[in-house]
Amino acid sequence: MADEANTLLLERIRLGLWLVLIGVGLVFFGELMLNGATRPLIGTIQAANAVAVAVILRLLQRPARRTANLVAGFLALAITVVAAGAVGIVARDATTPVVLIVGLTLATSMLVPWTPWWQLLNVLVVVATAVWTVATIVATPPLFWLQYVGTIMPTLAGTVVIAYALQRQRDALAGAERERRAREIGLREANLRLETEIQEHRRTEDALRFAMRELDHRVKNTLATVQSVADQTLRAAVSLDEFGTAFSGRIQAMARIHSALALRRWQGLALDELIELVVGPYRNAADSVSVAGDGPFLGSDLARVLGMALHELATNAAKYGALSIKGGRLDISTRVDASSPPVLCIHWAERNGPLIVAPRRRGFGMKLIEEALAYEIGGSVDVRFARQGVCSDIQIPLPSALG
Amino acid sequence: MTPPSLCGLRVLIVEDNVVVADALKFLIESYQGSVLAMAPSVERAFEVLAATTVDVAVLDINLNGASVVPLAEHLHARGIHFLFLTGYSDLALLPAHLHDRPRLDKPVDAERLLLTLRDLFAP
Repeated sequence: MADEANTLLLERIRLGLWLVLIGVGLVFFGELMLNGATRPLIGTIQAANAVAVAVILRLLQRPARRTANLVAGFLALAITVVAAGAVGIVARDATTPVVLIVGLTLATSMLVPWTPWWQLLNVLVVVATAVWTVATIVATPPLFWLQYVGTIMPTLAGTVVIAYALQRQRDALAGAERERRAREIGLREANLRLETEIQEHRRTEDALRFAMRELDHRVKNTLATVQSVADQTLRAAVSLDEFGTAFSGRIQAMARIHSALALRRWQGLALDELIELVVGPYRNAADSVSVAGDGPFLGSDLARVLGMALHELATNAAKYGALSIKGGRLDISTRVDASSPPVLCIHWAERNGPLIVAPRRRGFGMKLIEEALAYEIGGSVDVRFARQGVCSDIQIPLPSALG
Repeated sequence: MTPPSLCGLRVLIVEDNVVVADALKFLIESYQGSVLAMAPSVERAFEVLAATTVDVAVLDINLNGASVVPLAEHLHARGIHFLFLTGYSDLALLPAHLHDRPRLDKPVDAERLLLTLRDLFAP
């Protein structure tokens, strides 16, 4: 962009200098023809001027040295301006310096911003000088016609052309600068986006590391629970068979609850889903289990503990209670009391099953139901071994947000 | 090697999982230790400490997402022995001055738990 503007400027300068050279050459020959013998100084100055401009024009053929070319172009112009001024002084022509001033005014007005006051000043100077110049030209001998038409006018024209080119170049440079700044802003924005992305990656990495540690923790806790369940099931069991069934049933229930919670990203589980999950496998006919009532959403800890309690009630029903024979029925009704905190009440009623004999000692299963509910979630459970069927009432305080 | 006896040692168990807590209680009691209370949370443990005197506390580090560290600091200040039980493999959850406290990994090995408890009171 800047290179193109420079090339353009150089071309304009060359054009301006050609104009100047032609003018100076014309005056030189005119002067020689008219009074070459009587005014040798003017002839010499103009010859020197023509030679200087020609040499510089020749030098400008080498486009590689841009800055040097620009300096040389201005030097040629300066030489012509000084030469024209000198000729004007030698010939005692008062208008020459004035005309040159107009030229310089025009040139500078191209170089500095066009404020309204500056333009007005330019117009005033140009008009006044034009009037003065025309008046002088009309009253002068032929030599001064030559001087004006040959040197000063082309010099002015060259100056204007060069100044115009300079302004074009300045505009081009400003455009390039704007573009560079826009690119810089774009780059900075891209940089910012990249930084945000890196930060996001870092956050993800931290979250992953955290998740890994939590996984480690959860696995060890699960292993600890499995070990404890195994120990206590073994202690309560009277035979290896009984241990196998009870232990495997408990691990299966834990696994089912775990899977369901993991599927829901540990957000929790609705109560009816939880009941189906742990009681469903013990259903021996399509209508042997009925569930009715509220189905509040339970947090994952609550779901885990309540799920294990319901599992114990269900295995007990499948072994000794209503789910152990065909035609037995289990009715589960649920209700959320709108107290503060809200309380979840689950009523468990078995009927049409075999006659129930209350166990002589509380097994691990019953202990698990009662202790886990009370210890871990502050709930309570009442299990009654009525002859017609086991009845149980579970009460669990819910976090207020869920009520 | 004869198994160590805990001979009447008064123990507080702070563990949020009742099955694990029960198993610990059974283990300690089968070696003549006396489990004064099981607490599922730091708050519950403070209540127990306010009401009774314990010789040693077994602390699960993460109680349903809450840290046991405030309780450990309290026990440390009162000169009551304690040991950590943890499912974490690193020490990130504990402040530096508690890093030298005895620490057992879950699941707990009975022998190691009893030896560690006995070592706390070794002369």
